This record gives sequence, C-alpha cells and structure tokens, in this order.
Amino acid sequence: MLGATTRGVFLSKNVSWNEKRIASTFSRCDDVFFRRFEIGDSKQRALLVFLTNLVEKAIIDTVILRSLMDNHNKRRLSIQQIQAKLIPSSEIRLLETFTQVESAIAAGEAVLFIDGHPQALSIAALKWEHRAVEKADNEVTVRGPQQAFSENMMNNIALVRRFIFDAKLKVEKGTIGTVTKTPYCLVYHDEFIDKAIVEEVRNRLGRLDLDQVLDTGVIEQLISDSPWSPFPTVDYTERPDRLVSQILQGRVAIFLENSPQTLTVPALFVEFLQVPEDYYQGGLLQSSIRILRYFAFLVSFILPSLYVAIMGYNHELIPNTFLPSVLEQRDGLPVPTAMEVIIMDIAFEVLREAGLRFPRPIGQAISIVGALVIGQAAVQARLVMAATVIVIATTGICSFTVPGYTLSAGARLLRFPLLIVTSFLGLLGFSLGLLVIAAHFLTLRSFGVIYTAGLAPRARRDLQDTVLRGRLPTQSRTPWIGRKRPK
Amino acid sequence: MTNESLNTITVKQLYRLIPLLILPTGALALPTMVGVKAGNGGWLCPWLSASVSLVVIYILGSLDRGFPNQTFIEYAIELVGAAIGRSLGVLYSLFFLFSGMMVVLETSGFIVSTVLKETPRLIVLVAIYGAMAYMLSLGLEGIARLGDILYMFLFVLIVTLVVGSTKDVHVNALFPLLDQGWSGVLSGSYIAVSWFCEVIVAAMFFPSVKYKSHLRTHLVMGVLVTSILLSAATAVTIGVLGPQETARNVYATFNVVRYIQWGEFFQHIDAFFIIPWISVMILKSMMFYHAGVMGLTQTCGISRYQLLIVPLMVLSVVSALWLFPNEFSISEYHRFVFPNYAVVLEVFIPALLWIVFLIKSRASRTNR
Amino acid sequence: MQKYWFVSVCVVISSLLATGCWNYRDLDGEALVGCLGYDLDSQKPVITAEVILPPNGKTQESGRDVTTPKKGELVQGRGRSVYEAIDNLSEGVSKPLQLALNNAYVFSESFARSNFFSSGLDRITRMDLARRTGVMYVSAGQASDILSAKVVLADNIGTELKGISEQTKAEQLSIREDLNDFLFDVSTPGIEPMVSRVETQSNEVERNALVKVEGSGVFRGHQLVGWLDGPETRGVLWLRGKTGHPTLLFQWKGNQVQVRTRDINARIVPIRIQKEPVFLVRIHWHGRLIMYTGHKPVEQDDLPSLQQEVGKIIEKTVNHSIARAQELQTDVIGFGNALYRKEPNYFWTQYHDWNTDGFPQAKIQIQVDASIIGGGLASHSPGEGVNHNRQIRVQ
Repeated sequence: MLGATTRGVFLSKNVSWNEKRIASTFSRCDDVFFRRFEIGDSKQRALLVFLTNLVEKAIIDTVILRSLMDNHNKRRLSIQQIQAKLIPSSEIRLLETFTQVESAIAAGEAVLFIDGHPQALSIAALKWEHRAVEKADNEVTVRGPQQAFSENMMNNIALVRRFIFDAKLKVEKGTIGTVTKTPYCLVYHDEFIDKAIVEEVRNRLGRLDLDQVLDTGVIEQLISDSPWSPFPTVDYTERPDRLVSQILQGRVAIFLENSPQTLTVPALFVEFLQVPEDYYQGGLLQSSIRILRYFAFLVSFILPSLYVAIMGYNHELIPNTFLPSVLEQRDGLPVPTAMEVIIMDIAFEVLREAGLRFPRPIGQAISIVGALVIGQAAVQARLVMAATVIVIATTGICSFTVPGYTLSAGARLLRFPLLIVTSFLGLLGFSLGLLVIAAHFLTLRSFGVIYTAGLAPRARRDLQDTVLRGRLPTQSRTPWIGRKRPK
Repeated sequence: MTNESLNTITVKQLYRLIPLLILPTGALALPTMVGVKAGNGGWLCPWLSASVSLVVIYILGSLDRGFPNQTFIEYAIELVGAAIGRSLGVLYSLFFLFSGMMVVLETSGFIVSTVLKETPRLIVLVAIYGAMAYMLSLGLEGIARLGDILYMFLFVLIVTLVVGSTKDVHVNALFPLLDQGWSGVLSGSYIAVSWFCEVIVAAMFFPSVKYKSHLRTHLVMGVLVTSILLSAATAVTIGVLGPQETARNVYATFNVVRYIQWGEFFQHIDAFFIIPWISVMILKSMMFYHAGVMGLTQTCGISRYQLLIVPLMVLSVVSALWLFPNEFSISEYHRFVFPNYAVVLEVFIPALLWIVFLIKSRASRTNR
Repeated sequence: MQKYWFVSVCVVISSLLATGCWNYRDLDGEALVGCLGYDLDSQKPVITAEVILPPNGKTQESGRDVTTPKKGELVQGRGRSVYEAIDNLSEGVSKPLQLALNNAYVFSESFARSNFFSSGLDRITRMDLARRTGVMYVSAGQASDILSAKVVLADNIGTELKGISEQTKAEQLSIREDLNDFLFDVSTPGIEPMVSRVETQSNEVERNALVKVEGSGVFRGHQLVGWLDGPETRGVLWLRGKTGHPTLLFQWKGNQVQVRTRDINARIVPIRIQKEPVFLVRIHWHGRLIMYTGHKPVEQDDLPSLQQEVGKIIEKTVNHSIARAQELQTDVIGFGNALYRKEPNYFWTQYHDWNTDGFPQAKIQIQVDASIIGGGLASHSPGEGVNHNRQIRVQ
C-alpha cells in the first residue's frame, strides 16, 4: 500500500508522508503553516495545512481546531464522519489527489489530513483584504445606483444577485491560465439567453491556451471576433445596474477574479452609445441626448477630414459669409491645411494621453497649459489657423461624449486613415474612406449576431430603443431574438 | 439573426436596392438625354420606361417562382440546355461586368470634370477599384446593408434638390406640355428603358432573399419610388435651367444643385451632393460586379468567388483606360451603343426564357 | 506569400496615390476672383478680374500693419479671344486664379454688342468655373472703370454688385439677372434676356467714382441691341410678373400723393393668335399710401379715384415699356413665350423671327386693377387737424 503511493498522485494514509510531500512542494513558501494536532480523546493524529496570509484565524481556531480538539468521542472516526458531524463549516470538500490539495491550499483553503485515511478535507477559510464597494469612477451617471464592481469576483456576483432574485440567473465557474489559475464565472439568465451563444463562449474560453490572465481586457482581445477592427465587439462595464440590464437582454457576463471590469458578450454597436441613465430619466430629454450622442460620434471622426476636403480641395464650398474670415486666418501660414490638421490632431492626442498619466494635483495645470499653448499661442504666433484649432477641439469634445470608451477609441483611430486619404484625394478620398468604413462596420458580427442589429436591419420598434428612447420597455427581450418572457 | 448564414437579404433590402440600381446614373444623365430628345416632356420619360420594367419584373418574378433557389443564369442553363445556357451565362456575366465598369467610368468622369480636375484618371480609377475590391469581398450582405443606409441618403438628397429648387423653378418652362410631341418623349424613354430594366441585376440576388413573400410587390414599389424621384428631379432640372440648357449641360442636375441658394448661409451645398452621389454610384457598380462575379462562378463552376475579385479589378482598370481613352467615347457609348443592346439582354432574352418556361411547364403538366 | 498579398496591395495602391496631390491647393495658394469685367479694346477682348484679398487688420492680435486695409486688387489680361484673355490674366499674378467664387460679371457695351459675348458665356459654362448664381451687368462705359470704383459697404466690388442687385428687386428700377436667368431666357423661345445696367457716377466728396445701377440693357440672343431706362425697365419687370415694392408719385386733387407697392402681379393672355396677335395683360396692384399732403384725411370714398390714378400711372409705364421694346424690335417681355405656350406649332411655323416679324405688330390691351390697402400710421399731414377740435370745444 505504502509503496504504491510513493511517487503517486493520490494521497497516502500516512499523515507524515503527506506532510513531507506537501512541504517539498511548498518549499521556500514561508507563509505556509503545518498545524499538527490530535482529534480530541480518540488520539487520531491530524494535520492542518494553510497559508497564513490567506486564511481567517478565527475560522481556523474555532471552527476547525476547537471543534475537533473538543471532541470527547473515543472512537476513531472516518473522514466522512468528521465531515458530516464534527466540523461546523459551511463549505467542505473531500480531496483525493495531491494536485487538488495544492490548489486548495494555494486558493486559501485549510486542508485537513487525518492519519489512516487517504483523503483530505478542504475547509473554506478564505479572508483577504479587498477594496470596498465604491462609486463608479469611469461610468458616471447623474441618477441611479452608483455602486461599482471591485476586484473580488464573488462580491461582484453578489452585487448582481441583489438585482435579480431568481434561480434562472446561472453562474458557471471555471479557471483560466495554466500558471495563474485565475477563476472566472459566466453569468447569464436562462430565459433570455441563446444557448448557442453560451456554448460558443464556453468553447472560446476553453480553447484559450494561456499562462496568465491578469485582467478581462486580455480575455476580451482573445475571444473577440475581430480584434483588429476599430469597432469593439465585446463590451465591458463596472456598474452592476448596467450589467444586469445587459444580462436581461440576453448577454453573457464574464467575471474574472481581480478584475473590476466585467465583459459582456455579444456586444452590439448601439450599446456603446447607451447609458443606464437613459432609462432612469424622462423619455423626451433622453431621446434628444441620444440623438446628440450619435451625431457627436459621427462628428468625432468625420469633421477633420471634411474640413481638409473643403479647405484643401473645394474652396467653392465655403459659404460666402465665412470667406473673409477664413481668408484672413489663412493668409501667410507656413503649413498646408492638411498637415496642420494632422499635427494638431497628434498634439491633441499627446495632450490627452499626458492628462491620463499625470498625478492628480498637477492635472489641472496641464489642461490649462495645453489649452493655452496649443490653442491660443499657436494661433497668435500665426502658426496654425484658428479654425483648425476649433475643428480639432470640437472633434475631441465630441469623442468624449461617446459613453463607450472602446468605441470612442476606435473612432479616434479611424480619424487618421480617413484624414490621410482625404488629404490625397479630396472629396473622392473622403467618400471612398467612409464607404469602406461603413462596409466594414455593417458586416461585423459579434458571436454570430449582427453588430448593427437595431440600426440596420431595423424594425420600427427597434428604433425607439436605439436612436430614441421611446416608451420604457416593460418586457425584457433579447433584441436580436425578440423573445419575450413567457407568461 | 443569430448565426444566420451570410449572404441572405430581406425583401425590404431588395426593394431599397432598386432605386440604388437605377437612380445614380439616371439622375445624372437622364435629364440631359431627355432634354435633347423630349424637351419639356422629359419628366414623363421615367414613367414610360418604368412600365416596361414592370413587365420585366413580372417575367422575372414568375420565373423565380418556378426556380426558387436558383439565379437567373442557373435556371437559364436548366431551361435551354447546357450549351446555350452556359454561353448565355458568359454573355450575361460579361454584360454585368462591363456595365459595372461603365458605371465606374461615369463616376470617374464626373469626378475628374468637377471635383478633382487635374488628377490623372488612372489614380481615380485605382482608388475606386481598390475600395471596391475590399467591399466586394464582404459579399451580398455588405451590399445590402450599405444599400439600406445609402437609400436614405439618396432619398434625402433628391428631396433636398427638389425642395431647394422650388423658388428657382420657372414653371412656364414645363409648359406647353409635349411641345415636341410624343415622339420625343418616346425616344427619350427608349434610352431610359435600358436603365430601368437593370432590375435584372436584382434577379441575380433572388435566391439570397429569405422569406420571399410579396417579392414582386416590393420590386414594383422600388420601381415606382424610382420613377417618382427621377421624374421629380428631371422636372425640377428642366424648370430651373430650361429645356435647351438642360440638353446643353453634361451634368444638368449637378448644376441645379450648385445653383440652390437660400439666403447667405444655405448655399454651396454641392459637397452634400457629391459625397452621397459618389457612394451611391460605387454601390451601383458593386452590385453589377457582384452579379457578374456570381454569374462567372456559376457558369464556370468556381468555388470561391473571392479569388476572382482582385484580378477582376486590375483588369477593369486596364480596360477602362484602354477602351475609353476620352470622354467623347463614353458619352457616345451611352447614347448610341448601350440602350440598344441592353434592351435585348434585359427585356427580350428574359421574355424568351419565360416563353420557354411556360411551354415546358405546360408540356410537363400535359405529360402527367 | 499568402499573408503578404493584402499588405502588398495596400502598398501598391498607397504609393500610387501618394505620388502627388494634384489638386491640393490651400486658400492662400489661390487668387480668388470676386468680379470679372469684360471689355473690348480694338477688337480684342480685355478681361479685368478683381482678386479678393484677405481683409487686413480686422483682428487686433494678428500683429500686422493696420494702416491701409486692402480690399481687392485688379489684374488684367488681353488676348485674341476670350479664352486667351482669361488665360493671360494669370500672367502677372503669383498664384493660380480661382474663378469659382465669382459674384458678378460686368460686360462693357461694346463687348456686349460684339460676337465675343457668346464665346464669353461659353467659356464660363463649359469649364465649370462658375456657379450660375453670379449676377450680370452691362456697363455704359468701360467695365474696368466699374471694377475700380469705390466700394461703400461690402468688402469688394463683386460682393457690392451682388448686394446692389438684391436691392434693385425692391425698387424695380433695374433687373436682377444672374447667369442662370440669362441662359434660360436666351434658350427659351419667345423671350429675350435683359441685363442690369451699371455706370459710374462721380463722387464729389472723395475723388473717386461710385457705382450706380439703373435701367437695363436689352439683348436679342447674344447681342446687346439697346437700353431701357429706369421706368421702362420697371414696366418690363411688371409685365414679366416680377413683384417688387416700387413707389409711385402722382398728383391728386392738388395734393402730392405717393404710394408704395406691396405686390404687383401681371398675367399675359393671348386673345387673338391668327394674323396680328392681340394680347391682354391683367395687372393686379396692391399698395399703401406713404405720403399725402392733403388737409383732409383720405376716406373710403376717395379710394376709387386714387386707385384710378394709380392705374393710369401703371398703364402709362407699361405702355411706354412695350412701345420701347417694339421700337428695339426685341421681345424682352415674353409675349412671344405666352403665344408659344398656347400654340407652339403655330409659333414655330408662322414666325421666322418673332422679334422682327410678329412682335412689333402685336397689339396689347392693358387692364389694371389697383387697390390701396392702407394709409400708414398717420391719417393726415401733421398740424392740420387742430381746427376740427377747436370747433367741438366752442360748442
């Protein structure tokens, strides 16, 4: 018996042998602790192994050690009996192999070995410091719940459970990353989901061959349909109310440990221009704001190119009222308009990036310096046209209006190729560039669902929930399936 | 919509593709041609041509009922046998490809004369064909979805043209009606027939349509919308410029757009004409190329049509420059060559096929 | 190889496109022409162009010399044909000319009477240089004098001329004819074009010329044949159906009365077509009193006679215009067009040239229907109503 388990996978009956094996695996991990004790009056030798910085001492002391040491039964108990009768812990599992034991210890559980039994018990004792539930900083609304997800996956799922008190909300666990073994959860509502999509998500996650996963952003790029497209096909959020509304519209949510951003697949284009506040405020106001957002999105990548096309190629398109002012601004400037726009655009992007990295106290100064230097001084020194600065500033502001950061980043990217093509070919380049972008955009699919569902092809009832905000939807439904909740 | 196979379109999308097939070159070239032939009555020509295309729609619709999942070329092969069918297939594919090239040539002619005056034609053609190569690889789905959006723009464009010119229209120019008699209108319509019956390109897309309910109704609606828009645009052009001036100008509609001026601010709106117009013309040529490529793959049995795209684009650039070295040859082609042979291919051959289909189905019914 | 085909295609296309931007030109790389003047000098066309310069010194931060704001520069070109002259315009200028933002065309009388006029129009419309919104003028003297006149309110002479033509629509002493109207009239059977007349008048305060627009030049086809003065132009405009707000001055019962038109509509109806054509013109006029020097306020009973006076004035003006047009043997009014619309075939077969064959013999009957709507914000001249009140108080 002993010989069979010398180099084996399975646990041995001998506690000391198990201890030696585990000590060699966890060698030079000085935060592991081996607690040897006897179970009450029966004099059974037991060993408790745990990582001191991951477990809660109170649980170890009272739940495990005291309840076992206070046992006055003189009979030797089997491990199943100990599990069933002696340990008042809410989560206990039976382990049989060394790999299971090692992962359990590394995951913050306390593993109990009993002499004479080739199994071990892993008892949940996890307690680690994590950020409290804070206000959402990156997705700001005026009205509505202000909670945001933190890095603790189970807490995040708890936040979601608090919105949907229903057994049909399914939570599927798994691990990703052969080295980091990070746990993830798939969360979806059974009634609104398309089974094919869940299957596809599982497949894609299962096919991932990764060492490490540090954030959901990595998963996003790896499971996305077109990772090189400027339009994002996977959305993320850090607000539970937004996530819940998406789950109730047939999305699958992917939670990852240590990541406050939760992915949702599949993602449609219209989602990136929607904000949960749209449903908490009145319809008329929010419809106008939604239309504004669509307009701002278009402006954010069209405006500089249109400006270059008109100022560089087709002067007769300038209305007569603008002509004197524009002529006066343009007179004697060193750089052609196209180059001006490109340079100012790049300067604006540099400013934006610098603003992200600057420590808080200096951030204000940067914005003032940037505005003064780039805007005012360059115009006064007659290096650039005032109209160019206005165009670039308007473009930048419009790109901030788009709620979905990944989408506005995509639009930012698109601006440059379009600008370059327009600089070479004027209005023809502009039209061709727009056509190519539109063709790409309209044929994108996200997990098999048409990316522009709701806009094109469109049904009349879709428009009132995408571009406008019509009557509040009383029934949840999956937009591309249209399935409603059965009565 | 989840996991749908690519390359299916709905009937509504097909309906929107019809004006996009006919209007782009029509609205630009029709007023000029009918101004020459029909004078005041030019705005009646689209209606007469539309009636011929309604006949063609009826024919194509009933042929489609007989062969639901096959394109025009496939059931032509079935109806008249492999030899004649395949040669018809080659003929139609070449017709579609050539017409697509002509549309691109017209686009490039328009651009080179108005927007980019010093750019060599080669560059314009390379740019257009380069963009088209990418867009064609996206398949029919891409064309249909683009058509959805561009249809809106086209509609808004023509409505803006008509509404914006109302204050400048000389109503007297449209009277007396038919000062040159019906003969002028009829000969003008004869030219327009070849454009309206380009509905046959849509016949190549019929098998890709899911849920073919009311197919013919939608096509007829598409033709009606086209006629309304086209005749309104022609009427406005004749009203603003006068019939003789319309005949004299190569791009009459464009001149009307350039003339629209409301106050000091709403003027010089040709950019908002040029951008949708280029897009819509390229979409039209994309439809022709797609039909042609599909025809080739079906006639020659090629599996993936993506292989054909890039060589076809290169070939088109070269033939465009070589076959039509100057603008006069293009306008001569459009005035004298195209109407005559297009009518045969778009009207007579489908009619003959239909007759063969009727004979065969009657024969098979009597045999049972 | 397979995975690089896309990149290679992109590289080929972009290298072709990047070989040069043939059409790229910045605003300060072009000379924008705001007004074109066509003259004739010993049978050779001379073209003067006014180049719009950026208005200098408008912003204080520009840091430039603000002493002499420049408005526009004139360049001239001459050649054996209009085409050559326009091409020669750019000889003395350092930047290529941009003719697409042109606002006004001024033709001198000698140019308009010559054969060069039609080639000038052909050049403008063939090369897609100009929008048809540019207004046309014929000048009594040299066109270059007009272009060098002092500009009062606008930035340059082109914008000034365009603005003046808008103003003439109200007073109706001259016509606003833009390029599209001219080409329309030229190509429509039975009506001939008429172009506004401009001349310089000397400015006593400063030693330069001001621009004055009054009257019009009558064209038969592509040639100028004569002039109409202000009132005659007004009559033609009324007959053409153009409404405006001219004021009419007349005497009535010893008082000076001035009325202002609110609108005036005319319809031409051919009554008799065979042999000598007879036309009926119905004119409806609505207007208001704007000046009245009488003691008594105008009352309802006075209106018919007032309206009759107005009708007489209108009729006289219109008859005068028609007589002048018949004298010039050019139908600028559109009687031929009315005839053509009723009987196109008769028009084509009967008259070889309506202007000389049919129009001078045409008889026109005028019917005027004037109605005065109101009398303004005062009932009679100031200081006249005191006597009435005194009578009441004595009682």
